[in-house]
Amino acid sequence: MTPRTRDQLRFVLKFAILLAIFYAVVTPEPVDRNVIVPFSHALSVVSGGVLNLMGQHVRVAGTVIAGNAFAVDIKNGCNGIEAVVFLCAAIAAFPASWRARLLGILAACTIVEGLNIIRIVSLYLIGKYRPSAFGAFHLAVWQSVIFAAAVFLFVAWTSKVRKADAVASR
Amino acid sequence: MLSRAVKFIIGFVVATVVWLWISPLLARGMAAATEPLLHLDARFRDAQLSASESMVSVDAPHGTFPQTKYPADQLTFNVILLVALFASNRKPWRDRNIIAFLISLAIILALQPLALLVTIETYYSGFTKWGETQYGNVATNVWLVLSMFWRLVGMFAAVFACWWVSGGQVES
Repeated sequence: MTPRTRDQLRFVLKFAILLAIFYAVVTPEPVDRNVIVPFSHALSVVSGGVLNLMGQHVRVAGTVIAGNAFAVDIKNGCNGIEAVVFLCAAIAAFPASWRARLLGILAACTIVEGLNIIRIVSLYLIGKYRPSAFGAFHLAVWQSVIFAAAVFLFVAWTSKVRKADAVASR
Repeated sequence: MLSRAVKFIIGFVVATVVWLWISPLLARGMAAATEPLLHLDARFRDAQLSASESMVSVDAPHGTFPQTKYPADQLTFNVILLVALFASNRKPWRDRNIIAFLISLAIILALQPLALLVTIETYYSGFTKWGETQYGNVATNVWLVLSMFWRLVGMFAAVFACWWVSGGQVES
């Protein structure tokens, strides 16, 4: 086994363990009630605000964004938390300074949640104007895009960290 | 990074179209592969799985448990991300990349029947009256947590891990 392969396997093992730990942290009912649901509500408020700016006249109640013809409910799996957990595990598992990791997590998670607001807004619009396409976009397209964005952000962060390490070691 | 993103988008679009087209085939394969796994659980010894379009049906010929249907495409769409990630590598048509992709695809396809098995157990343990008499609280919660973990994070993490180990990340 080459040293590179060993490093990659070590990273994947650390990543898998951290993923399970972080997922276990956000899953319990008290965390869901006191952290995740309020966060989903905040996402609904921002997304509802964007939709209203676009002239959609929606109301937000809890995690539901409702208009006259269509409504979406921001449940777990649609709030981007799963991509945040993924990013936290990947960045924490990668060898870098804790400062670089924290900055990476903050920046990447902010971008992913920004993208998630675009997902919510677009799904509302698709559901209202192209309901036949809603299922495919809700399930396959946007879920994959959110995780693809998380992977790209992680890869971008690793190349930045590697460059910084290369400069520091000169 | 821009070139990688463009190749990723092309791979993503092509993979989505192909996935929509082959979803019924994937569902049939999953049903066939999951049936013997489900028979390992004595409660489902006579279970019969069949697929129609993207729906997998679980039938009990002797009525020992309730019938159900599940949209199998909810467990197979991670192949879209897999194709797109390998398409985004620097030389996607190089032999090494294609072999790594095929090995990764085999791993992901092999995990899908396990995911369907977990989903079926989750449904029966947590969402049927029959399950209340057949499963304990711990078993019900374990199946539910496994199912949610796989559907929300695990199915994508597995794709990412395959791609990462294949060395795709260092080619940008």
